[in-house]
Amino acid sequence: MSFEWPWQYNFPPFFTLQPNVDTRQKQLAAWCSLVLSYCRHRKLYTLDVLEAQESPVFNNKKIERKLSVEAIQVVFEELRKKGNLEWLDKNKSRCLIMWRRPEEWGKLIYQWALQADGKAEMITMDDGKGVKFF
Amino acid sequence: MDRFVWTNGLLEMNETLVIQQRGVRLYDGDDKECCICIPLSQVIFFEEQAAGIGKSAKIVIHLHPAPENKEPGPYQHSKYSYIKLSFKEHGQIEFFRRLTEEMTQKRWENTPVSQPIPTGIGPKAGRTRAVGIVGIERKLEEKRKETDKNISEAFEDLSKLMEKTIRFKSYLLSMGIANPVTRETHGSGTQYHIQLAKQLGDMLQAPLEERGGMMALTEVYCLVNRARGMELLSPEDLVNACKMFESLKLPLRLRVFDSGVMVVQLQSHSEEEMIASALDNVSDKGSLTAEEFAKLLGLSVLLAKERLLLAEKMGHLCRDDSVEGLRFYPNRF
Repeated sequence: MSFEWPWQYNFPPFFTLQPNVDTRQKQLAAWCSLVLSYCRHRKLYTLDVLEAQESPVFNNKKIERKLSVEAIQVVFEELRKKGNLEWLDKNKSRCLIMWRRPEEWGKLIYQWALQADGKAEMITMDDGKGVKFF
Repeated sequence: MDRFVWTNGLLEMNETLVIQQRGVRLYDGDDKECCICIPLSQVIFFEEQAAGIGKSAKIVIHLHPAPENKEPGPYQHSKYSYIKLSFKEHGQIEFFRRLTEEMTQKRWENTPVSQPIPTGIGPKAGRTRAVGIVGIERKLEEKRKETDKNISEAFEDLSKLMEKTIRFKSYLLSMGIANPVTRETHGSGTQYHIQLAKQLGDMLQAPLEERGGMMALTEVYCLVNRARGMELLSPEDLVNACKMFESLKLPLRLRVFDSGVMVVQLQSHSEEEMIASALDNVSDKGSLTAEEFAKLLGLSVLLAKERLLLAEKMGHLCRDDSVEGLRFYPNRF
């Protein structure tokens, strides 16, 4: 199934980081959801920043616009704040994309476990990424 | 009038008919006269003499002394060095204008002289050969021509200067400045700035309205100084005067944009209207650059950009910054 691009993807201003604060917030929100849905669709779990610039997500060849490296960093930072991204190295060149946040995964698995067996106990470990099954 | 020569009334080889006017009476000095011709090269200067009661309008033509080799004419000697053309049936204005044109163009200098050139001796370009009496005569002729030229050039400058002065004065009056505020009349310091502010208030109303209620301070500076001509304003004086608009309750305001651009705008000028119209224009065309917007509205690019930036600040527009340039779109986010 081909990926459905959101309307913003074909709107040239989408690829320019907006100076107006309110506009920028809306813009970044749209970028975040686009990155996550694209990664989910393509089953991508990691992203390399330099490669990302050439990826169709950040580079719309049809309208000849692409997001600058600085802007990509801003989008990634936004994703990180939301909990959807984790940097894999100190240089911030490679990252983990979690199109479902750990807590979300946890909930899903817990619910599945309940359905499956009726017995499940949630035990948190470290960052809350662990679920123990009984 | 001894400058005239007999002629058959037909055009010679190098002559063209410039203007023909009936009912023009010829006066030798102040004596009345008849049909003859004077080469235009003989004319030093000419002027109009307005009509009076019982008198027709006249053109007075001042002439060089007759050259020695002049062909015979009605009179060999005259006590006057000018003639008058009396226009009994009017037409003097057009005649004067055409005469002025011809005296400026001096076409006779481009056409070859109808005198026979002595065999064996061709005149060198720009210089005359001093050979015998012919050479001397020719030299005198050259000198006469030079003097001729200088005099008419001098008079040319004078008439141009007169024109300029009159035009300049009428421009000043059209700007509404009969007596520009100067440091002499009003001293320096706040008094000066106050008076200046008041004068600017009057002066800038019309230009501001023409330009949609806003002008960059640089435009104001140029406009005002051009009108003043002398006693020009310094930029500081202009800015200080403009800063007083509000306190003097004048209907103008000095405004500084975020980018640092300073403008003078009419107080009645509505911001919302400006932004709404900007949004309309951009939506209409899909997207606009500052240059396109400026062209559309007949504004300077600087002011057009400020308007677009303002609309962006208010959240009505968003930007597309690429190698193609900066473009503004309606904010669909």
